[in-house]
Amino acid sequence: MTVARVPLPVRVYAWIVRRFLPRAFRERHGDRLVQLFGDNWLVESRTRPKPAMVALFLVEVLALLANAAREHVAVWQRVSPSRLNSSDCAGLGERVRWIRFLARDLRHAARALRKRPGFTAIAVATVAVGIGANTSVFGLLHSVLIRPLPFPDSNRLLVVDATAPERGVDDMGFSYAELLDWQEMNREFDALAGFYYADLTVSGGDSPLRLKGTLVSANFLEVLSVRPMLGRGFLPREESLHADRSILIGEGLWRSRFGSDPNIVGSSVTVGGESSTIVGVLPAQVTFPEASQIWMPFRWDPENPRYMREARMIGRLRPGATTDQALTDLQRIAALLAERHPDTNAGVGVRVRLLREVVFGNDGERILILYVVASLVLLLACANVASLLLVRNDSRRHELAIRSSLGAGRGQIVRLLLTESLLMAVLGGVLGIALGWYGRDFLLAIRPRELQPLFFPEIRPDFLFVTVAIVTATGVLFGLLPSLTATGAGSSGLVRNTGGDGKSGSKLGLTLVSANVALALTVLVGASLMVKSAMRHGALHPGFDPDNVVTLQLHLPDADWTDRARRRTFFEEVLTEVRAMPEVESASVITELAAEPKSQRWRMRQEGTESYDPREVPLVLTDVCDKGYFETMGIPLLAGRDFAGADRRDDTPQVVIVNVALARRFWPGENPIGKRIGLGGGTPSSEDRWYRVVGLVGDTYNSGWGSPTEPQAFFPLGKITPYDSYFTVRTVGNAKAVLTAMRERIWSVNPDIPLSRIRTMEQVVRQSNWHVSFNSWAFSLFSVIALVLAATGVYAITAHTVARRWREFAIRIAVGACSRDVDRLVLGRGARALGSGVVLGLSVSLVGARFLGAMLFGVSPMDLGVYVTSLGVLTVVSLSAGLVPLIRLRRQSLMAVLGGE
Amino acid sequence: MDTRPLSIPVFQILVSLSDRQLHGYAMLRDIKSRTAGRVSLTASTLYSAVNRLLDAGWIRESEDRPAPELDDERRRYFAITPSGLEALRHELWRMDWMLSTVRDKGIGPLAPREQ
Repeated sequence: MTVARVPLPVRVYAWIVRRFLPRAFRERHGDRLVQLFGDNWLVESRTRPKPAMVALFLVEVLALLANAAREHVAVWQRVSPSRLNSSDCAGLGERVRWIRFLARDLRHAARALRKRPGFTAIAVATVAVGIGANTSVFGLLHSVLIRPLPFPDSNRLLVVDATAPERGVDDMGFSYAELLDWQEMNREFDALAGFYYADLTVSGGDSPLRLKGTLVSANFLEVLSVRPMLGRGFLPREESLHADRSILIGEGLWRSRFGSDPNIVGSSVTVGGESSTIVGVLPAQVTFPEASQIWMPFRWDPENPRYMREARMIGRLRPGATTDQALTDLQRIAALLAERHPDTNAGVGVRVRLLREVVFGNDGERILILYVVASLVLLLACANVASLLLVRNDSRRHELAIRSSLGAGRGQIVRLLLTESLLMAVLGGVLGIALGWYGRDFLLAIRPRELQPLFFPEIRPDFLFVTVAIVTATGVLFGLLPSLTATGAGSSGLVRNTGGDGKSGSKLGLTLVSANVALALTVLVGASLMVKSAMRHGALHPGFDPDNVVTLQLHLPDADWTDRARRRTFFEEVLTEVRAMPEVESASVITELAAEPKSQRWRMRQEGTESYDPREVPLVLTDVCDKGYFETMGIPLLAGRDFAGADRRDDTPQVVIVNVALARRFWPGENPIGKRIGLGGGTPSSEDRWYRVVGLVGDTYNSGWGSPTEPQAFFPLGKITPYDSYFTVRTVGNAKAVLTAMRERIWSVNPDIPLSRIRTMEQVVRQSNWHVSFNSWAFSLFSVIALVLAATGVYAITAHTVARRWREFAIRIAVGACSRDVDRLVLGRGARALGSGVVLGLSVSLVGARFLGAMLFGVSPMDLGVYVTSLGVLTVVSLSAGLVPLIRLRRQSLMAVLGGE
Repeated sequence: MDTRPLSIPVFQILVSLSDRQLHGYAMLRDIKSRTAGRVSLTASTLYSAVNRLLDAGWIRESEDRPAPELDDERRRYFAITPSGLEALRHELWRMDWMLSTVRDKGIGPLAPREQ
């Protein structure tokens, strides 16, 4: 049989036999073992399918490794003469012996670690930092990318949005009539449900409570495949306009507000001013779609026109259907609907996304990058500890030599050293998991509280399993090479304690320097790019001035406040009182806060476009605000005037203030003041649909931080008076005191009004782009860790080299070389290692940075500044670390070094 | 008498060799077919056990080989030794004795369908 005809698995198996089995066993059985495996392989591969063969191979290899370990122990046992009794073949006795030997190994290792507390502390801390960084980020990664959403078969859950590609809208909703069409016509979903975010107020009790809620189709629990923990889900008839109100509440709300009352089902509460019956309680992990605590069935009015698009859709794919099939089918329906209802459905498309994508958005990608960097940090920590071990083993050559001359074989010494490094890995791992736990809290602290509750790492068995695997791999990775090197040199050299030629050790040392430098450089470049991008992001001017502005949200319970005049009077009263407070510089009201996601878009067109296609009428972000809003927020008024008190009244002309983006869109190059905007997509026939532009204000980031500003129109409070709005107040004094006073003023007008989300505008900004600070913190931290690790690694190796060749250098100096020659000798080799590390690191970074491209904002992945700075800082740090041992060598007296001769 | 059980590989190898001489692959096949596939040893487990059995003197390498036309010279044949046979019989006694310690309790083994 020629070598080429031996199947690869058999060759791999043979290699493992050669590498890992004790020599005696190998010589006695090695060939026949490989032959047996090969024969079995040939026979089995004739009948078994490929995957089964892969499994067979894995089982055989794992068994081989386990047996190899066992045979090594057996070799060791041979030292004790009592081992050849009959119970040697007994499994139980062997297991006991295993444990005994392991315990002995561990005792030795612990003693060795205790003997060098400084070294142990540094090494354990390094491992802890690496594992801590890794586990905390893995926790996030796990919760975002790996852990299934809390619904059965959650990868069959798709969110469907209507789109209007020609108008650049991709999150349009569906109307009731459309929802019925889609439910009826689709072929790829088991069930489709509509849902719609709605904040709801629960009143009664001490204070009214404003909660995140969701309006849903009656079948939404069927789509999610979730059962209520108490009570039942919704019934189809509860969807009707005239049905009695029924609600489902979340477990959290049930516990906090209703004291975990087991008889809650059937009792009634006031929600949104209407008496509603609680029909069930949903388990805590169900917060669909986002942090929702209360669910209510839609109350569809069958008369609603097709263009009243309010609901989004979620569907459960039928088993076996793919996302692509679903999309194709939905597109087919969209085309059919466009044919049947050209006035409302022409140009309306559809898109589908996995629920997971909707819930986590970009977070997954972001955290994956963070995890890659964290893994590099862990590798760096391994390279680093390997460097430290190399040095440590060096100073232990004498001890190892004595062990060896007392009869310990190479295998035994390697095992001892490996046990030590595994022990260190475990210690570091325990510490690292603790660190990771704090790191997680730290990450959560950066994250705003209102973000996804699902985005919450928890300790789970699979997560712990991965961590244990990482710890073990770490121990073996940083322990194996140095131990093999330590035992590789001839024992005669060891006993004489002359250091031998040190070739294998220093070659490994230089490799480790390169690895340290390359890894550190990769981490530095990647992290610096992310930090720079975050800084660019953070340096963006939001278009308003968040300093000293506080804000609170208020909701007028719908049922009691249907009278517009009553709402208007309420706002006027409260604003007058708040503005009169001495700490208040200015105060106003707005429907949606700057820097937060907007949902109100109305169709508008400029006067003078007589013939138009209804599909091309743009959707414009729409807000309602009172006078003084722009002053309070520090948004510059560029032309025209602010609203005035008179604009609130019904008998004054209708006016609007627009932002620069809208002016540019509607009247490019013209002065917008005095021009008119028509509301609605149809022909604005009546005069009251026309609004005259009286003011032009600066742009803010109104559709996401760093994204282009959308056209936005502001209407005066009064003519349109919302139920929901935010008070915004610019203060001169203590913002907290102002908030307390404001709350009292509002409640003195009406104690039933729920107030929520009391924040400073700075908090609002921070929450809306938390990932910026998240990125800067996390990646800066990783850069610093990388630098410190690289410095200790390089220091350790240089110290190692100097120590190994101490005598040689001393002799060189004694026979006339000046110390500079010695420096050159050491630094020359170090510089070459540094150089190859830099080249390797740069190449990896250049390739890796391409993947960062999409995540970077305002920074090119090839940003020269980042590369030069990282390289410069790393080189300076490494060279300085390398110089320290040389300076110490110089201080050492020659006689002290040569004294031993 | 020692009442600790033999490990499964050791026991099965002794049983396989109790009435004939076999080489490694034949032992694997014999064990698998006698136990209806319930005991399936990996190559390394087999040789690890063989190694211990050789050391303990319970089996030996056999000099007798089959007729040349049936023989594969790469193969090595193993045979059980008198002490190996004794160990196997001791194990059988032990199993019997173990059973005797429960008989009075009135419970029997699982019927095949329950297994």
